[in-house]
Amino acid sequence: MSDDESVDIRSSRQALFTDALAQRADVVSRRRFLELMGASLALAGLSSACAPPREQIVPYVRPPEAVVPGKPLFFASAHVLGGYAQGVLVESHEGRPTKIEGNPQHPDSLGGTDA
Amino acid sequence: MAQVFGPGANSIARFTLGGSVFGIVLLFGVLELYVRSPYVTQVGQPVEQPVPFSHKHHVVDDGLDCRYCHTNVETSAFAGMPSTQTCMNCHSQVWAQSPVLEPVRQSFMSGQPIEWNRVNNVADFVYFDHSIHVQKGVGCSTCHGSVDQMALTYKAQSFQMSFCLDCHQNPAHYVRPQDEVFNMAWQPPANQDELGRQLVQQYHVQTRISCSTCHR
Repeated sequence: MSDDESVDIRSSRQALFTDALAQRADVVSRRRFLELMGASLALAGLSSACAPPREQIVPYVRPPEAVVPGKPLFFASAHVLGGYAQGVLVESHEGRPTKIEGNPQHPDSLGGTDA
Repeated sequence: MAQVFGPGANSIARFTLGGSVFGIVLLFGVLELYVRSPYVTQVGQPVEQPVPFSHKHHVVDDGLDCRYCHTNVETSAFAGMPSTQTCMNCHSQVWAQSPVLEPVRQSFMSGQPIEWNRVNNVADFVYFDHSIHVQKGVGCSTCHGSVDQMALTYKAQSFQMSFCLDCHQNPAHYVRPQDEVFNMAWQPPANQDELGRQLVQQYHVQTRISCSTCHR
């Protein structure tokens, strides 16, 4: 492809886009866009200040027995490994299990974790 | 050709230099004041709640102890918020038809919890445990202010780091006898610093100002 041809293609493409742009009355120039973005960012920083977002506290409707919010609960349970039950201790926070370790009172693991 | 700079140019230059230094210092000063102002910390501004709960009414008029609702404050990191059941202990009998308490009854019937808007908050990168503070003789009102006088609950202290450090550096100035912890009207006696030193020894209060005490 010669240089002339590539220039032709480029100018025809430009013409295509400038036509499309010209048809839009509310077109925002690059400079105007950056001005607006800069201004709105600056104002957002001013108005929202450093105040943290609002948080909610959602207490129980009927509190379950033994659950103390903020304290973990431990459940002695078992899980099957290689056909044998392993004694485990499950830590749970507000009903969500977070950590499983060997049960220290179980002679097999004595509190250790494997696998 | 005339002189570009008139006789006043030197003064203007000095004034501009001095003024810009002053301006920068002033700007930082104003910003420092701003982040400590109630506009940012929201100290003293009541927070809107689904039910217009009045601590003043429940504590002064009815004589409820803090721990009737904030049950875990002595045992857990989280002081605890009353369950709907706790509200209904009384409000199934008292004000049982009040339209103000409709969200409470609604919650009790439907099983959907009431979503209270948090008033006092420390940032998530701060570890805080209510139980240890209560056990070592830090009273409720030291941090939460006169909650018994709050018709609508608001934050009494900024909970910015300097507030915590004031006490962590010099606990003797703030601790009180353990049987006064839940006394909202307690005021430090005249010999607070002397009494405080005794209590600090008696309760084994440690001056903890290592970063990882709170930022663990």
